[in-house]
Amino acid sequence: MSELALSLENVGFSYHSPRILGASFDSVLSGISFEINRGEVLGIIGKNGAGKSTLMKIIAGIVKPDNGTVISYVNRVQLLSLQIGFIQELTGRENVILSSLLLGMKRKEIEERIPDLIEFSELGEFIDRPLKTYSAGMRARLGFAVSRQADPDILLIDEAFSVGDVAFRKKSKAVIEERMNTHRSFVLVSHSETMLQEYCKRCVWIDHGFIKMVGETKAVIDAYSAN
Amino acid sequence: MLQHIELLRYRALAELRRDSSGMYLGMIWWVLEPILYMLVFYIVFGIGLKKGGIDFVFYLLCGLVPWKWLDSTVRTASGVILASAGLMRQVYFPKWLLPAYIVLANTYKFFIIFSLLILFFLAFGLRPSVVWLAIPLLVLLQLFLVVSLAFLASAIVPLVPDLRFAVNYGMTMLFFLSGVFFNVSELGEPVRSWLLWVPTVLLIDAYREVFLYGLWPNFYGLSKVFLSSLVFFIFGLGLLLRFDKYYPRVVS
Repeated sequence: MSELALSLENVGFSYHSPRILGASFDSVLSGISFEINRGEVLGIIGKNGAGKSTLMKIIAGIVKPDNGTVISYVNRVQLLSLQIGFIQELTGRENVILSSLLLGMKRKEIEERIPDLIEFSELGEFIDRPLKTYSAGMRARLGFAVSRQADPDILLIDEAFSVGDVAFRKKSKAVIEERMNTHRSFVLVSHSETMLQEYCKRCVWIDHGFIKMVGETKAVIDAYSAN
Repeated sequence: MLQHIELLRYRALAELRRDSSGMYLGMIWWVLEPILYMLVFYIVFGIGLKKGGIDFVFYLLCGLVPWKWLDSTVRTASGVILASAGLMRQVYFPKWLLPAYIVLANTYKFFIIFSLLILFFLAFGLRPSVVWLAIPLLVLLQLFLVVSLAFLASAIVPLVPDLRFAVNYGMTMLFFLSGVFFNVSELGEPVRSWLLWVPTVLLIDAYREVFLYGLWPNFYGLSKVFLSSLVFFIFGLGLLLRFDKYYPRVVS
């Protein structure tokens, strides 16, 4: 019997246009229920527009569903995205603090981890220069160093963010592998069946806003491919 | 909560750096911009319309400096949620932080300019008196008005984008109503009585009473400022909390 990290019950979500006149409602998700266990890597698969990204935002607590409930049994649930809240005019160090605060870390924690983080980012003395003087590579290294340190209880990785970005994919893998056995949970949204098969025991298949299937990765992927 | 205060500090710092970066004069612009702005008013009303010498400059400055604080904050705050769309979609944070950091950055600038204003007054012959003890109270009260209008504008505009224009026109209208370059008490009735309900009129009047006439401000008027700010604040913060997790949807 595994411990729950988060559960969704009958979650529904629809987008409506902000205009007062002629508001239209598009149902994006409905009747979504499943659990995420502690220490689990859960896969989510589905076609483009199936509602996967919206689901991620609901799980991360960024938006609230219109119906149903999301119960979280852990403290920090986050979407993996690099360079959150980075600002060109601030120095690398200031950006690290700002970004880590946004990711829910406490000031003390951040201060303790900063030396380690700077070393990992390999930025050396550049850490105290404004971000706008950085190359794209340096920025990416700093961004990755921050998200690596943030260490949420549930990390949501949406590959839609990484279209064509080999570095992002590699780094996602690195984060997962580093944390696999530390009681942290992951939700992996992917088009890459190989990646899901490699990491996930269980998968959820979302189709047109509904859950089509939940189960062992192999069974779900077989059914998905056959579809 | 402590975390939020830290966040505010860094965002405000970023805002201040952003303002001054990429220009040769950098931070000097914070001071230069309001001076140029005040100069225009002086040329038009002081010299052009022959309203008078240094006294009129004092008079103008008492209105313009506090006005500028409110004006830039509310205008920037009205767009801040829309401008933070990217961030809102990546991570959750309480949305009231957005107008709050705009307030913080602008308040910091105001303090610098306000200190310069007081130095200027002293250099040109104004003598401090016991009524200057009311100044911190006026500044605090104005801060409350600035916060409440910034919250309200930031909360409403993303929900009804058309209001973006309304906020801009509203601020321009409020400027002309606030008696920055004229004396509201010299106006005819009933306009005079109406304007004595406008918080900015009452505040600017209070600054003038203290600095220029050596009088205690009209505390009855200030209580009206406080009450109207409280109403705006409750309404603005209420919206920000109510739609906290709804804003990421409307801006995407």
